[in-house]
Amino acid sequence: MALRKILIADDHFLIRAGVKQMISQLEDVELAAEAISGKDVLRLFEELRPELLLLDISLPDMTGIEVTEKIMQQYPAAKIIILSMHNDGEYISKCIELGVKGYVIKNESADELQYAVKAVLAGKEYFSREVQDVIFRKYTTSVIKKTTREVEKVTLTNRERDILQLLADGMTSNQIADRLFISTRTVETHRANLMKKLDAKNAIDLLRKVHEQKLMDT
Amino acid sequence: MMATKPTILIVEDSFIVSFHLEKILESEGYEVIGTQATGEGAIDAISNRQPDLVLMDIMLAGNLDGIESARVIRSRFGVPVIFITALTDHGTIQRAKITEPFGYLTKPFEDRQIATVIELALYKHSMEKNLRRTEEKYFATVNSINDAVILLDTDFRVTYMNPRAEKLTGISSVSSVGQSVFKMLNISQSATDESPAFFRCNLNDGKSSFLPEGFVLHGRDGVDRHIGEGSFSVIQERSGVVNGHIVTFRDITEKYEHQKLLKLFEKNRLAALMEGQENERSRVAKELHDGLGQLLNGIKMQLAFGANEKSTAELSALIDEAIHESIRISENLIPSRVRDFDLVTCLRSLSENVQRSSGLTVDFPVKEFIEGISESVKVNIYRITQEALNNAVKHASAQVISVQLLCDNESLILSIEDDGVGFEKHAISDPLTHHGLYNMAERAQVLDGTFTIESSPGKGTLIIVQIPLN
Repeated sequence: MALRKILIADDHFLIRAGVKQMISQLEDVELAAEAISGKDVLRLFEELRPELLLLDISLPDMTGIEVTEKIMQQYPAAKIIILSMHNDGEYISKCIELGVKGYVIKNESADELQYAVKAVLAGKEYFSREVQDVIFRKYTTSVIKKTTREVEKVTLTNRERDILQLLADGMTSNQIADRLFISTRTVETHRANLMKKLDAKNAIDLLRKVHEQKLMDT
Repeated sequence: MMATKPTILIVEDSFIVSFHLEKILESEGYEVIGTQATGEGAIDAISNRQPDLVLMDIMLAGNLDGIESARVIRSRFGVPVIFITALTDHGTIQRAKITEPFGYLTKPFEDRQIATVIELALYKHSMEKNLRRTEEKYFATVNSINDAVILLDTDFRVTYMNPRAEKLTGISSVSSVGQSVFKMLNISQSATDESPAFFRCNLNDGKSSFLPEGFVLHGRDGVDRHIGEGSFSVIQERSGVVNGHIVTFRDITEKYEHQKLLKLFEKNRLAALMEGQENERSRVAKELHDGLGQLLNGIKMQLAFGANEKSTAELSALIDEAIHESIRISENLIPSRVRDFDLVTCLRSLSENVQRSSGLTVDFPVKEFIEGISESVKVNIYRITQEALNNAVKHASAQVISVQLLCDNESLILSIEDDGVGFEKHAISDPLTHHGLYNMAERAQVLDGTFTIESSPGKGTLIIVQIPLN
């Protein structure tokens, strides 16, 4: 049986060395090539069609996200594991959205990477412990936000309250500006922010929503 | 030549002579508009109707004789006078000369002679009138221009100063006449405060040149003025003979002060920029030294105690910490998420981080994505937000900070409001003492945007940044 080809892409020599060592301990697999830039990866992937790509999230010429986007567009079945310095939710969700099969934080134990490689080669997905934590936290917050009205409740700033009060008194932006010694443009900005926050269509709608949600009461 | 006949007034106390003259003049083609027997009568007549010329008998009956009458007529009406006289004695001629008569007719005169003398007088008078008009034009010009003009003779003595020069030097034109220009003008170099030799060289050189920059004129009125935009020129007659010099200059004090202010502003700006960079560097240096450096020291110490099963685990933990520290420092320098994500995601993440680390409430109610914002706009908006949040956390004693972002087709509007202590707005006029605000304003300016700050004690602080999109 032919060996399964792995392409690794990272611009740091030490990381590549570590990854290579890890791969050498696995059976049935071979290192197809090493890439050190985004351009390299795209060319080598096209040429060698590896079964698995271990991709650094930040390459000198492109981000791993950009590389993933390009590869997944052309080869939707491609198997990619991201190696990343970032444990931010944004990076992780973006990569999952793009269809990567695994995501491992670089300073986690070498075992994590090995698990990931094995799992993905076996047709599964693998997200390391730390990544799972981040995903879980993100998920729970969004669930809490969706289910609890409290969290979703719009809050107003002091200046927004001042302006709403004067709007309710029937004043125009110009009059409010004169009253509060601020520029009309500043008043307009507050109004636009308020309309956006409360998804209001006009001043009347805005005041109605403020009243409905009892925003001025506290 | 003349379309109308020249008009003439005869002043002659001898009826016979005046009758005779009238006949001759009319036959020669002149219009006699009257005959008068006395000087007073002549002056009255002229004030009613001005003739082109007056024929005046020197010897007149009445209070005014011919010479006296001629003087009055000349000075009051500017009408040329020709004397008719039988006297040719030296004394009378001398007296008559002072009134600048335009000719003499000596009795008894020949008919032809009269016309010749009259024509000559009329011609001479019209030439003089033209000359005077030209002179007046030049004089008015020199008098009204905003440049100081000083005329000098060949020995550099003042012959004339225009009103502007009088004002700038504090010396009247009359009292300056005849004075050496070097003694009169008290000039020094603004930088060295020395009396400039250059000024002398330029004048003595005899050629035209420009006034060098950086001179201060110490006026007699006690006011020092920066002068410039001037020149030294030689006054040359048509024949090529040099008959003096002309010095011109302007009061550029206002311009000078303005430039000085601009320079000062630029200097302050640079200083603020450099100090900002310096602060940033020392911050990074401190983080590298205190954070990462100490961690690495710790690792080395652990190694020195010899590796065993337990210490390997500890070492690994320390190395992890060092890695996190390096990520944190690098994120602070250039946040990689600004490159990789849209602006709203970046700002939300920043707000969440600040909320977590400060314990304050940071509200970021923006839900939709804003795509297509250039990286430079993103970086600057991110930095402004970071700086504003920092200020609110560190200095404002705020409880709640609100970050909002609006985007229409034309512009991006970022507003950051806190409920902290606020400050007096005029207290931030000096940019050197408030780098944070200054940097934010600078960043907005770089993007052709506007930076507005509203704050007053007890009312919290509001920052609005509006960036045009295109």
